[in-house]
Order: sequence, then C-alpha cells, then structure tokens
Amino acid sequence: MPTDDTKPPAGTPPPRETPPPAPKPPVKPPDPLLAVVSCPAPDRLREVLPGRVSEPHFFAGEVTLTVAPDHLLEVCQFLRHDPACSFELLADLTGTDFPDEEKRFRVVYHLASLRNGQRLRLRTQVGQEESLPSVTPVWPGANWFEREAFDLLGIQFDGHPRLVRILMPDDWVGHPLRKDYPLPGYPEHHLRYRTADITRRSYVDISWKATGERAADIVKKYKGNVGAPESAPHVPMPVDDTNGQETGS
Amino acid sequence: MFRTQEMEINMGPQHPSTHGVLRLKLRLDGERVVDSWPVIGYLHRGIEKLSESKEFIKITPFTDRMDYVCAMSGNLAYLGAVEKLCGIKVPEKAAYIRVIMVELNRIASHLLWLGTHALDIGAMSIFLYGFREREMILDLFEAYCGARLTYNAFRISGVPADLPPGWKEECTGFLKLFRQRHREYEQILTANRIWLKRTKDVGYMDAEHCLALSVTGPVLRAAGVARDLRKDEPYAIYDQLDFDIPVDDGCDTYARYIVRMAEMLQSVHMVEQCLEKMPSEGPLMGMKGRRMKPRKDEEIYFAIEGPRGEQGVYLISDGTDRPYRCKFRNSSFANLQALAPMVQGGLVADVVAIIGTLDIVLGDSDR
Amino acid sequence: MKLTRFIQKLILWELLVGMMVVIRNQFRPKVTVQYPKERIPLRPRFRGVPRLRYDPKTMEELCISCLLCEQICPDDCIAIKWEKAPSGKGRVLKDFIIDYQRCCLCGLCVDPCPTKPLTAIYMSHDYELAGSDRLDLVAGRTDLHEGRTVTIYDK
Ligand code: SF4
Ligand code: SF4
Repeated sequence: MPTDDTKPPAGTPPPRETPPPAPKPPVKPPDPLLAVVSCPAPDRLREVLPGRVSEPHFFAGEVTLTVAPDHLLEVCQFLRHDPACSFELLADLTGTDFPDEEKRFRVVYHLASLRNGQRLRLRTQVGQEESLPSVTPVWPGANWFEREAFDLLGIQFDGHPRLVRILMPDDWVGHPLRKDYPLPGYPEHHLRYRTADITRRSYVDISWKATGERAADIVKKYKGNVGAPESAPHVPMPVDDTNGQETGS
Repeated sequence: MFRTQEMEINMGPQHPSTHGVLRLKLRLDGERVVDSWPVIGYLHRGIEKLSESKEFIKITPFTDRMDYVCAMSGNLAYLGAVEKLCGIKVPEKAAYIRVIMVELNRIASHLLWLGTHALDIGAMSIFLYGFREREMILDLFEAYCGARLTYNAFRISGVPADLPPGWKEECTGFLKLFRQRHREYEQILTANRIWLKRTKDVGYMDAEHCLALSVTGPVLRAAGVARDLRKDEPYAIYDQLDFDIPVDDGCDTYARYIVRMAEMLQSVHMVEQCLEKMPSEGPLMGMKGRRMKPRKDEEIYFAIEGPRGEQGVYLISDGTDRPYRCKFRNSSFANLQALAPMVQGGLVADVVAIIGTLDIVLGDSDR
Repeated sequence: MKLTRFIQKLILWELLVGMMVVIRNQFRPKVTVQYPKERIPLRPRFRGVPRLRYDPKTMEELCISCLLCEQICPDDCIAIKWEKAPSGKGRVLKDFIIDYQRCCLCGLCVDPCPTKPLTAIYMSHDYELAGSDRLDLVAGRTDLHEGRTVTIYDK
C-alpha cells in the first residue's frame, strides 16, 4: 500500500468527465525521497582530497559517501577539522553483514555537525579477513561503537585501544548479527546459557509454524478443555467499547 | 609510614544505585577512583537480531522494551524511521497526539531520574514526591493506550485511537498541578546546602569532551551547547511549537539538574500548546492496510531528541516488508562512555552521583 | 524578634508544628490499597491479556478464523485451528490457543480483527498472570472465553 511516492490523501480524484487529450506517457513526478540536498562536504572533499570518496548518493534528505578503507582515516580527519564541514559528533557507527558480496561487511559512520547543522553518512566495505582503521583518534567516542561492531559482527579495527566484547559475554562463540548466525543461536556452543536446562523445564512451542495437532494435543492432554464450551455462558461484556477500534476515518 | 595499596572492587551488577544491571570495575586508591571499567550487556536481548526476522509493524513492541522509562520516545524514533524510509505522511492530528505523549513521557522520565538520583545522594522525600506525579502521568497513559510502561501507543503512519473523552481536561488539570509541584521540588533541592555540596563540581565534563565522546542530550546542554534535535532538525510538529532549549554552562552534576528541571517546564509548556492547537477532527492513520514496500537497498538514519539524548534508528531495506538491518542508536549507550572519564580522580561516593546524573537506562544501552 | 524566638522555644513551637502535620495526616483518607481484597479501578482501555468473546446478541462465536491476529502477533503466541464450514462457505473455529507466557500485551492482535465494531479478540482487564507450571499459562478456548481460573490462596 505505501509506495515510494507520497500519494495525496484520498478525496482529490482527478475529474473523470474530461477525457485526457492524448495518451501521454505518464510522467512520474520525481520521487521526493530522491531529492538532492545541499551539503558542502562532498564538494570540499572533491576540492581538497580528490578521488578519495565516491559521488554522493541522496536518499530521504540524507547524503551518503562511500570511501575505501585505505582513505578512511584521512577523510575522517578532514571532515572533523575542516571548518566548512566540521563534523564534531560521531552520532553512530555500525556495520551490516552482506554475506553474498565480495567484501562482506558494510560499515557506516553517521556524522553530525553542530556548527553547520549537517549530517553525513560515510560508508565503507570491508572483508571478513581484513580490518578497518579505528577512528578513535578522531572521535574518541567511537570506542564503544567499534567494540559493539566487533562484538556483534566480528569486524576488526586496527588501532583501537582495547577491542573486546561489550554486549555479549566474554566467552561467547560467534558473532550474532552475522546473517549466517541462526536466530536461536548455536545450541551446542551455548549450553550454559539455555534457561531450559537451568530450570529443567522444557519449553512448549505453540507458534503457528508448529501449530496443528501438536499444540492442540498438548493443551488437551493437560487441561482437557480444548474446543468450544458446552453451552455458551453469559459472559459480561467489557465496559469499553473503543479499545482502539474507531481508528481513523 | 602508611602506604596505600590500590584495590580493585566491583560495583554492581546488583547495586541499587546503578539503575539496572551496570557493573563497574573500580580501581581505588583509598577513597579516590584511579580507574574504572564499565561492564554492560547484562540486559542484552538481541533486539536487533530479532528485528531482522520480523515485519516492520511487529518491531514496535520491542522498542518499548529498550528504553522502558521513556517508551514513547522509542516508539516515535522507530516509527519515524520507518515512515521516513517508506515516505509515509503522518496526519496532523496524529502527530499532535504523538508529541503530547512523548513530552508527557519526558516529564515522567525526568521525574524518575530526579527521584532516583536524589535518592542515591540521600534525599529521600523527593523520591516519593517525584513518583507521586509520575504515577499521575502513567494514569494518563493508561487512559489513552491502556498500558502503563510498555505503551506501544503508536502505529506506522499514525496513532490507533483518539484521545478518550475527558482526557484533555484531566491532562490540563495535571499540568496545572505539576507547575505547583515543580516549584516544590525546586524548594527542596535547588538551594539545599547538602544537595549543592554533593552535586557542584562533581562529574565535570566540558563541551569539547562531551562531543568527542558522542555524548548528547541534557549532559551536552549542561555543558553550554544548545543542541536539541527538536529545534535543529524538527520532526513531527515541533516546528509549530514555541519553546526554549534550557542551557547551562556549569558542566557539572548541578548544571544537569538545572537543565533537566527546566526541561520539564518546557515540556509542560509544549503539551499545553499542543492541547490548544490540536485539530479536533481529522484522520488518525495516514495509510490503510499493513503492507509496507520500501525502496530496495536504501538506508536511512532518523533521530529524535529523547530524554537522554539523540535516539536514532538506522534501517536498511531490501525491498521486502522486513528490515535487512535495524540498528538502534541509543543515547544511554553513548552517554555511558562518559562515565569512566567523569569518575576518574573523584571520590567513591561521587560515583553514585555521576551514574545518577548521566541518567542511564541499562535496557536502553544493552538492547 | 528575640522574644518571639524565646517564646517559641518555650512552648516547643517546632514540635507542635511537627505534631500538627502528623495529626493532619491521621484524618486523611487512606491511599494504600489492600491488594487481594481491593483493587484499583482500571481505565476502560486497560490492556490486560487478550481474550475472545461471543456475539452479545446471538451468543455465537464472533471469530471467523481469518488468522489475521495470528499473523500480526509479534511473539507468535496465537495458534488457531479451523475447518471448512459444513455449508461450504466460511470457516468454523476449532481451536484457539494463546500462550500467555509469550504474550507481551501489545494489543496489536486487536487492530486487524475484521469483526467490527466488536472485535472477536479483545484486550481484557485480567492481569493476574501466575501459574505453577508453564502450561498453566497456555490458554485454550474455554479459558479465552471465560477467563482463566485464578486459584485464591486463603492462607
Ligand atoms: S497482545 Fe500482542 S503478543 Fe499478545 S497475543 Fe496479541 S499481538 Fe500477540
Ligand atoms: S483476527 Fe479476529 S476474526 Fe480473525 S482469527 Fe483473529 S480473532 Fe478471529
């Protein structure tokens, strides 16, 4: 239902009486999400450090630049200290796993400039065996973000003060946010952390993927009350009424 | 001659003043903190991993469970990101309702901070007062969306229900009462000599260091930087509201107290304006149906000003109705980095004050 | 000034003020709620555990087994079994199970339910969720219609 172009709300249909004069090819209005926004950083980079970053990509009012890992630190230093860019704040640093691509991890740096009111996203690709230079010399706040990216994705950062796990336990095996890491985890690796083994109670899965006979049987065996009650009893209706039903118009 | 020996102790994870399960390894030289190493992750629930396997619409309840003190902000940040990714417009009335809820929740969050922070330092009564008013806000939320802590009060492209009858009056009454009560808190604390001694020049961090460490929110504003995303990058309907950004240049715990107290009053002011300006009629949802179809291979970052700082959501879409990657940039996580430099060289007793002043929620930082 | 201070000290004025506060509070209505005996009144929109309801007029099953609630539930805690209706049109509900252990009381399942204006599934006002076994909290259809039986401990 929601498409990329923001449709005007219903209620303004085009007048049907006048037939269109000629079968014009439908000219799609330019997507507002792809509009070009003004940002001084790409131009400044082109002037001072030519060839280091890609052409800017615009989406939803955001600017994305792609940079090779070799030039990353240089570009970051420039963006941090150049008066026209002056990105003082590293708002976020994170990575994503693309297992099908040659260089597996995409790492993004969300920069914000308080002086100029700008935002910029730097993007770089790094393979599984390679490592990225740490940006902690430029923004010391990258410390924990890089630790998090190392912990959850296994990206190595060179020059980081102490690259150890931050969210997962120290003896955890594997990096959970990789796409080949199964959602429930590797049971054989993490026996210590399985609550079912600790509490010695098995978990009843009634999720719809496992539904059908099994879920019903479990409940029937235990309670014997599956199925409709004998006679429909008088159930007092709850007082409310609205409970979120009269939504919208 | 006496010789001091450095000692390493653990504070937490089950310490009442760590506001959750934060473990702090402290190296002490007598009463002085030589070094510290925060250990987090005890509340890690893998929300980002889980989100990758769910549809956009199903992720909202998880965002409640990250920053459970201000769940409305979490909802708004996530939904704002989805709406930005798919280019969905939110009807005006829904945007007003969202802002009312978020600002009320900011008051509730700051009240919880005030109560627990003061309790850690030793002021017991303000804790009870703060919770008394917070309870009223939770009652308002219960009347609106039915939940008191994990609200899930908004949906993609709007809000599910209108304000119930009588809610506006109840809210106006509360705001009037709150202004009085706010004066009461200030009487108790602002000029209190013990409070001043425990907070002045404790946890000093200036603007340059705050920015270098990615610290945002009231901590940054208390260092003299007027950074507020509601003004700098207005989302929802904040550009139609009239409000100030409280700034203080004390850079210490007391300045953060001043800033947060002033922010509560600003929020009251904003809610009053919203109640007045809100259109009485209008649609509540911007789209029909539940199917989302974002553009393929695009990424967006959307940030709002939560009560603790910049609360961002980074989404990558692969053209389906599930996010390929969903990363939550939570302010507690970034702000916690400032803990180690702040406590260094200070007294052990001040560690408690500094944890309080950073206003961390461990569910927020651990995800 | 000094005289007033002296008189105040003589008649233990501060103590009196303190006692006045105590005495005043003796006559305020109690705010403590004796929980199992009394309960706080809930707001009409309060979201307790989800339950099913009949059509209030005909006392028939409202749910038409459209499975929308099952699909939207973020925690996969609803399981529905249905059969083709004997008349050949529509479905007949066989089983409806909600696992209250997993339910996060989010209320999303009520949104898409098509039996408007009264949704078949609704957020009830039951909030006492405790059991001595995990299966205690798996609610079958009877439980969903009549509410879970809560064991009340006298002692
Ligand atoms: S309230 Fe939420 S978690 Fe519970 S059954 Fe409904 S959709 Fe599922
Ligand atoms: S959405 Fe409503 S009608 Fe459809 S299966 Fe669920 S309870 Fe029944």
